[in-house]
Amino acid sequence: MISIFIVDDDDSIRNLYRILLTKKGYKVIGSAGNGVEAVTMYKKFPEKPDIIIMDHRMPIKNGIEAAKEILQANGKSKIIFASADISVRELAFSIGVISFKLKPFSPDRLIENIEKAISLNYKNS
Amino acid sequence: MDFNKNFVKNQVSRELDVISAAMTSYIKGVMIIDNEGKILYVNTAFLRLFGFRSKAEVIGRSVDELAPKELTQILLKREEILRRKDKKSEDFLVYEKDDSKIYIKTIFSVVVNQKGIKIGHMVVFDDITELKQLELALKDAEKFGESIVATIREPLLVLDANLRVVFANRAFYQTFQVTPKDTEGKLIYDLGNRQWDIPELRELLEKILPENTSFDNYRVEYDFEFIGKRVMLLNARRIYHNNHITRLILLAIEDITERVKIENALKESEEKIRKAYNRAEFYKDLLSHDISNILQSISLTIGVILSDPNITREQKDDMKIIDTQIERGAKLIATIQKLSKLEESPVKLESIELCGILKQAIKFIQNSFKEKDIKIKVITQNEKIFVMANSFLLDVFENLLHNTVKFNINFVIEISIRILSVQIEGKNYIQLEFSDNGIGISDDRKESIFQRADQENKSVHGMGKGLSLVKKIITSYKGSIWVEDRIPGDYSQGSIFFLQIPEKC
Repeated sequence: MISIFIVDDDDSIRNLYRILLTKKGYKVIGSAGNGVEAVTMYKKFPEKPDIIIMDHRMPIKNGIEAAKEILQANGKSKIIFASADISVRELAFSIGVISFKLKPFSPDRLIENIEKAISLNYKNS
Repeated sequence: MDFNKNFVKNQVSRELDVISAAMTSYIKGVMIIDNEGKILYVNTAFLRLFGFRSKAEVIGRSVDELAPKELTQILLKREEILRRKDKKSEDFLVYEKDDSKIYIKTIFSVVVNQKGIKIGHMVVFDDITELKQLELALKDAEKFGESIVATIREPLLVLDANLRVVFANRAFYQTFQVTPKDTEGKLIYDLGNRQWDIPELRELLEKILPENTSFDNYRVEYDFEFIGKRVMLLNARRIYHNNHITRLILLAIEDITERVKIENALKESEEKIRKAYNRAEFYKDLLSHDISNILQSISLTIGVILSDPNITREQKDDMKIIDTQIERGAKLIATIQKLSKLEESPVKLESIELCGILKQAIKFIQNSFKEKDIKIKVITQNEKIFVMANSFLLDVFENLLHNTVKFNINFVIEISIRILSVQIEGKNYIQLEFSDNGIGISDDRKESIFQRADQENKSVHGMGKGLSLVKKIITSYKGSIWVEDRIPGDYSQGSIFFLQIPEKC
């Protein structure tokens, strides 16, 4: 089963991701509300998630910084950046995220991206 | 004895010959008169100077019989002139000859015999016309200069080498509330209760100016006793002789107090505007970000509801309506962000391939309106067309096509896009003509549909902010956009949107 780690400071969005993705057959192995929590949790996962859905504007540490640290810890991490901030799109790709979804996006699009991301040759959306 | 007499006689005769020759060739006029004023001798220069033809006309006559009158009057005053302690000359005699003026200086001396007895006077006449004319010209020039200086609206001082005021103009007196009596001849630092004894001015006049010919726009701020705090720009020019010794100093004082006040007010105003702009940007950003997150929550909720296998068809349709509204909201946020970006910084243009972008936009529209029968025909001679634009070109095409489809009630939506090259005032443009069979645009709305519905123009309705974004983008490309009836005179038969974008050189 494909495992997913959710990072977003909005509680309702985190819960909705969890419900939706679980219903769609994915395994949500955890969720974090800020960048520091995300990095800490990621490092503690005994088995790393297949996909990370990462928000950008979060307290303590933003998504770009958190994604950088996660990618430094594991260069093969597949991060789908999901943010309402279009201005960080290029930056997100430059640090190595595999997809950028501008909020609001449809759940179908998210599922499409997850499916594409888990395929080996997927690089971008 | 006879030998000695003869010798002395000969000697005297030789001396007289030499003196006579010298007097004859002397360039200044010479006249000798006896104690009674009878003329004993005149030389050739005298005759020439006063227009006499021969010595016979003059010698033996009394000076008071002489013409011209000016000469007579001076000669009659000879005793008085000689009694003077210092100046043994009368200044100038003005004499007219051939309608021209001759300025002559007369110098008097007493003639005594060998026994020391006064026997008369010698008068030397010196033609100083050229000198006098130069002096008069100089005075005229000074008067002319003073009259110019007097009319200058900026306060201006003329100082001598010792920093004493030679002249001050009216503007100086008015601005600094001082009088000519208290100003002219005074040391600049002593003016107006020593209000000009400013350290910076001392530095300028005593250190900087002697080493330079001038200084410009030296800013001085000083709190004057009578007129209060003033901000001034000082400009000075040193006028010097050939040997580099200072003759005069021109000191112009520009009172920029009011200008500085206005500049400061402007700076404050700009700061307020900048802060207001930053606040607006902050709230715009916050709002668009947070609304996007709210829309995202709704969108995910729809996803959760639709993933329920027991959902009814009606519920599905309701969710679709909500989903459409989310799309609208997202589009609105994106448009506002793009409009804002276009306004905040100069647009960077690059060579963009137009047909590829147009194909993307067509695909987007066909996917967005899958339920509608849309027929789009592109007419072009060339598949690769390059224009000077940027990534916003996709928004232009998407917005135009979106509006065309949205405002069309026909069963089959027909859109024709013609692409051609045009030349306007020697410049090459790519012209796109988006022709449709939609509801059309009445004449009174043909311009307003491109206007932004801002505070000043709230009444603009109809096609949302999309076309105002399109107009803004095309304007940033230095292109143009307008709309015409597809069938001239009958707007209800559809429209043609014309776009002109500069072609890549």
